[in-house]
Amino acid sequence: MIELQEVTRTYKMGSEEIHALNHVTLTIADGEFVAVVGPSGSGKSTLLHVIGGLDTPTAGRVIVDGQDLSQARDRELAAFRNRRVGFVFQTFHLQPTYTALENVALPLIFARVPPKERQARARQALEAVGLAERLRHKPTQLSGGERQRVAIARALVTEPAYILADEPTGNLDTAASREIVGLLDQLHRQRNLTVVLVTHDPEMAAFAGRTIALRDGQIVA
Amino acid sequence: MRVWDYIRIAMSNLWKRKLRTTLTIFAVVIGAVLVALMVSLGVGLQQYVTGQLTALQVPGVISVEPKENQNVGAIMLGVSGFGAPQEIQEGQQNPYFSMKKFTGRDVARIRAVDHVAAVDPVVVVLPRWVQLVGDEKRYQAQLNASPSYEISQRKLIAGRAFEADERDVAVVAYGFLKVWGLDPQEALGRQISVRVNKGYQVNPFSSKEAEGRDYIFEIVGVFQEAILSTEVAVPLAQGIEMGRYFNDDEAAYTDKDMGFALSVYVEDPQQVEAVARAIEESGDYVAETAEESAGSLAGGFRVIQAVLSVFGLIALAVASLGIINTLIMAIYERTREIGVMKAVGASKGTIRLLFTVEAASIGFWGGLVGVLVAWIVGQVINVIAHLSFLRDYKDFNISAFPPWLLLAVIALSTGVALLAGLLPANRAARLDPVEALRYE
Repeated sequence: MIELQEVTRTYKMGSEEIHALNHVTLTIADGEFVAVVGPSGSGKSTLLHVIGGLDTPTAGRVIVDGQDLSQARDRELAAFRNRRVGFVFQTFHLQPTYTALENVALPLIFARVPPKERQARARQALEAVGLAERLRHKPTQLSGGERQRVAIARALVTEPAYILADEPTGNLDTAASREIVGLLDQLHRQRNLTVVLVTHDPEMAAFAGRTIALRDGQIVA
Repeated sequence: MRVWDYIRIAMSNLWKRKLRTTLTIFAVVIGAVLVALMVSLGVGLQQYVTGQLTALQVPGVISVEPKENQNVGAIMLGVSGFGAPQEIQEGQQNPYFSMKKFTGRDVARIRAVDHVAAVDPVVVVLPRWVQLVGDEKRYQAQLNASPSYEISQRKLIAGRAFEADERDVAVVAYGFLKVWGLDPQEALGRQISVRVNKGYQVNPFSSKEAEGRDYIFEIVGVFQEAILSTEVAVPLAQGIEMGRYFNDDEAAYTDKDMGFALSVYVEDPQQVEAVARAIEESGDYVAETAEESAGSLAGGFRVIQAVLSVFGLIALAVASLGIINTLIMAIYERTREIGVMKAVGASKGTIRLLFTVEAASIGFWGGLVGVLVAWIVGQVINVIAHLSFLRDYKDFNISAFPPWLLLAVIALSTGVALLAGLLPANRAARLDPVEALRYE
């Protein structure tokens, strides 16, 4: 379960203070597929980062699976990001010099998994997203949709309970977008994953069981 | 992350940017080559000099001097005219310095120490010249009045050592054979004439030739080649006679006056250390074994090597600036990559270690290539030297690379590079992942 209690995240831009998140309180139950919608600058990405331990709130508490992230130290947060959550980004963030297999295996290196096991698990993850034929391809040799599927495989490879996807279809055409969100939904059902999907596309948000709307760092619906 | 993974990833990152890596490593190579080569020259010299001197030195012989005579500083002041006027002691011949001499009592006392087999004075005679009978030319020489236990342990390339009671026989240094144009077998049996002037008259300012005597010896042996010797060794007893003539003093090398130094022979090599200490206990003496003088020699060379290495160290320091720069640039370029690594679970410590290992790898490879290049250059230098100015000294390798030197230089380069990497690695570790991911 994901729990946010009065979470605030403030940035200083010169002399101004920007409240990316402003007293946000919400709960996401295990196994839910939640969409987070809102205009640009509403704090959607920040919300995702805070849930995933990539960013720390200025105030308030973030509790995921009973772990209070706001109290955690760097090493604990790193382990959390490694094993408990998987990120999927709009711009894929794949290593251009690694093959698909190597990209997917990266989290396993940080999890201290031995090389042979890394290869095996990475292959499995790529098979689960339908890319068994593309193991040795580099990102430049893959289409946008395929790259995002590699990113999803990477997010899955440590078998986390939560998938956090930040505008995963932002750089994809409509067909590929449907494919990707469809894949996330399928994985959500098959593995009982909790998926938090940030999107501004209502068609994609429709895949989710519930929608949270943000505006200016606050929940409005 | 596992140790091997750090190394693998560091290497693959370096390999991806070949040109930049090569240039940075090259800077380290230069530093490493300089350090390795310069120190190798020092080591080569040390090995040669030590080897030559140990050929001259005899194990089991302890050199003993009066403790008072160790105060070289006071002596120098007296000679130079600075400092307070020094009183001239009774019986002091030389107006410039007073040094204590041994007497028969000292000899007896030392002789009584356990395991001492023999005690002999060190005879100092400065010959005017040595001349091969039948040849016109006269040469400088050092006369060594040698007890038989010393001469019998020296390395010869021809002939034999002499017995204690022999007369009119000598063993000469190989250097003489060269200037006389003889090979060792031809030299044996030839005669030499050693000129000794009466009364220690080695006055460089006088143009008068002093009164002197020619001592004739038959060459019965030739010392092994040594860069430091123009030595003519004669039996001790005869040397003492020459010493008395040289000092114009029949009391020289008698109980009254046993000279400034004694040579003590210990038959059992295990006892040498203990005997030296016992001698020092028995009176105001300073006793040095062959090992101890080799040790202080080694100490001196270490200083030389340290100084020689300074140039290389400066080069390495400069190279490390290059490493810092390279890594900081690399971090800018890899900001997003670092962000992604953090997003998938790399901690600050992991990132820091990753970049530190990359830095250390640059140092390691630079050091490895550096010692290789230095070794090759050293061999070339040796070959050239042996073809030219070291033609006659086959034992002298001007550049020497003992294993410790190779390992030390590699370790040094790796260490310097690692230190250089600390700052950039820290920077990388402290990047904010969210901003790093946004970085274009």
